[in-house]
Amino acid sequence: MRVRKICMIGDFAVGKTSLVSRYVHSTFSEQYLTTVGVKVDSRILELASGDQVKLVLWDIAGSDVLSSVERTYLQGAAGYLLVSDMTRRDTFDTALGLQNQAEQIIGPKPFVMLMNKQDLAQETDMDAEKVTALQHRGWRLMPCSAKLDTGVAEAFAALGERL
Amino acid sequence: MTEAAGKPPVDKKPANDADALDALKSLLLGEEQQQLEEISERVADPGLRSSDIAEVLPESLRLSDSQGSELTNALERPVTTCIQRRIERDPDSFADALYPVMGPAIRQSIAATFKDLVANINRTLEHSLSAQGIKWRLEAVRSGVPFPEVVLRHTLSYRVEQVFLIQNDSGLLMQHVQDDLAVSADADAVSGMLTAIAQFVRDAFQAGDKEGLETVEIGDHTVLLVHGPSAYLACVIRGIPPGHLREHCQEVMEQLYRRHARALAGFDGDPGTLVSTRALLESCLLSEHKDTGRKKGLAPATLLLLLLLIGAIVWGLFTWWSGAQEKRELRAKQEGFLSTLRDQPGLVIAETHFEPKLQVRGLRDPLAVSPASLLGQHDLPASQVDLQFRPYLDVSPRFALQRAKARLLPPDTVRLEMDEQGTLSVSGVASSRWIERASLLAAGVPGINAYDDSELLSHDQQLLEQAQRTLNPPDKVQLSVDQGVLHVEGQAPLAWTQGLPNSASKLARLLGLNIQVQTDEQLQFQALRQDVEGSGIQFIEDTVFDSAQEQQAAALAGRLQQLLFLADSLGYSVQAVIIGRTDGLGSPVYNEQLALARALIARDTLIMHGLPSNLFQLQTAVGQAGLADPRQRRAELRLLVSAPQPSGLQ
Repeated sequence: MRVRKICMIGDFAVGKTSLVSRYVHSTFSEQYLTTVGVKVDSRILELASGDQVKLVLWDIAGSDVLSSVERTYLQGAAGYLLVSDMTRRDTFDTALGLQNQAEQIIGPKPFVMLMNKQDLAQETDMDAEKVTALQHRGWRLMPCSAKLDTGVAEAFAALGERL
Repeated sequence: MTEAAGKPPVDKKPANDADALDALKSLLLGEEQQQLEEISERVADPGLRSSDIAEVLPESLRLSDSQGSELTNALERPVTTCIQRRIERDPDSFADALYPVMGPAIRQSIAATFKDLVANINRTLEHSLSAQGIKWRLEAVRSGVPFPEVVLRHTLSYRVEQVFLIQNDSGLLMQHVQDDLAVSADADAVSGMLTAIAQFVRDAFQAGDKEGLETVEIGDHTVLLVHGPSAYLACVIRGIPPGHLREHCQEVMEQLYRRHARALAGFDGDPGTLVSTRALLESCLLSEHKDTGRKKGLAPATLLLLLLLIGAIVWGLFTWWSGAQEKRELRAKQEGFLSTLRDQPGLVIAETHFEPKLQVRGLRDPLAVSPASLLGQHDLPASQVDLQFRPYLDVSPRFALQRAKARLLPPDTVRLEMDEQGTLSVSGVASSRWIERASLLAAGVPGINAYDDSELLSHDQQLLEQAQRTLNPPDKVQLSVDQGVLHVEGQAPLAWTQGLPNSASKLARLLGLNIQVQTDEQLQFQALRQDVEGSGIQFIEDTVFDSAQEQQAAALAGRLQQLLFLADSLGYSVQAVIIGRTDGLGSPVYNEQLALARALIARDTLIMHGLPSNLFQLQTAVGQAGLADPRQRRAELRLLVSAPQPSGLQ
């Protein structure tokens, strides 16, 4: 069984750790605990072909710019998940910046952009035009909710299929 | 190249031109043409082509393997498929082929596992009962960690529990081996986090490319990091690692790169490509005990196992021996019981079985001993014996005698005996009623053919015999006994008769005494009384008392003396009446006086002869007037005797 390193990158408090917790441990906590450095977990993903792949998930501490050590955390990643908060427009922009940084560090790798906190849809603060533009560029953008467990597994599966 | 040369020539005369062209080719390319044809022929011929490939295939495989893993990757699936199909079709041939390899491998694995097990047991036993062991056991209870694991922790100098082979940059786990007792978390996550920490440290302290985290210490764990070009080893150690351990790990890392450099460098996330590194990694799973080599002789577990084995053998032998012994003892008891049964009169043993328990069938006289009552003599529980006896009558003298005793109920004074001819002899003393009843009942007792009671006495007979012996009666006395009453009749001396009640009272079973005996003294008294009664003194005339009268008086006095003696011994009371008589001649008054005078003379004379004066009473009797009768001239004696009533004992 192949093992693939996947990095979770995104701004502060967009829900990266909650997404990993939901995906790996099927749990969710309303309490916010900021991630210091990085937290690593793993889960086996069964692909559509029937093969299995183990995803080693590096949940990197949220930031708008990757620090030098966070850059090293990206080394060897087979892909990454860009995470933004649907209720905070600036996190979407931060994700775009981080994607640029990641590509500079590890080259073009498969990624999926997650727009988390779909459960707070009434507070959505998104620039639809930007979203559309990115989709036209071939980006895969997926709304999800770690709290409601919607779109989470699908997002990881989508990335896994691209690896 | 010119235009003409670049285009094919115009084909005006195909046949001639073709021949010409061939001829030209033959001239220009004769040798090459031949080689080309040969090559075409070899390519077209499958046999030749296979032969050619067979020549170069081994070398091609070696060359391809040395250049990379493409050939291995390409062959992996078809070879796996071939093996799977072959095993499905003919598993035996594969088993046969693998047998020489699998057998030793399995034995080696079992031996290694057993060795570790014994070592762990040894350590656990050594520390089970000591004060330190108790302390560790409390620690095990408190922490929830198994006791052997706690012992291991404290007795180990160090132990390499896990070895991670991790890709440098990505932190991906390439291979992971661990000790059997190690408790590991998600190895992929651990390798990722370890890498992240190492990268953080390197970044934090701005270390160079050749520098990195060497050691991590957490509690009683130490993680040794040994870095290679594209991967590093992380050895998780419990306890204090010795200095040479890092060198050993470094050597292992170098060997890894010598043998698997390409696989390590080209790792793309598939640990399967590095399975062959596991043997080297496992060589890092070293450990050292604090007390290694301290003990001499047999290890406790070995000693314990040996003792248990010996104990089991001894116990088994003892169980077998005791079982056999118990069986022998039981059989001996059963035999003894049967022997006792056979010796018992009135029991007939017809059939016996010893399995599954002692079964005895037979006959039993109701008077014979109960077979079950004999079990206790042989210490046999009733539950282990099945006794079935049917009743019958034993007519042997012994049982006939028992039945006679039961039927006749003889008193203690009677003795019953049987002879071999079936004659019941009864002796002793019994009541007449019992004797009569016994003679009737004896005839109905089975086994009694004749009845003899000649030696049997009734109580009366016994009493009579006893009286004859004890009382010694005179010849003229007859003794008889009726219903316990002794009858004594006849004549006997007074002394014997007087002592009879006292002597008879000593006779046993005497209910009464009837004495009808006349004593000798009574008879003499009566004879003497008859002689004295009416006798007297004959007077001739008036009161002339001469010698003749004197003689009569003396004789009479003598007889009276004798009579009084007898009366005294007999207890009789005697009064003598002296009657003075006269004839009818003379006057009545005179005669009356004369009669009184004669009586007085007679009394006085008798008194003079020694008789007591109070013995006598005086009377007068005068004869019929005018009648002369000289015989009336006399003094006549009459006796008044009062005798006691005849005595008897009732």
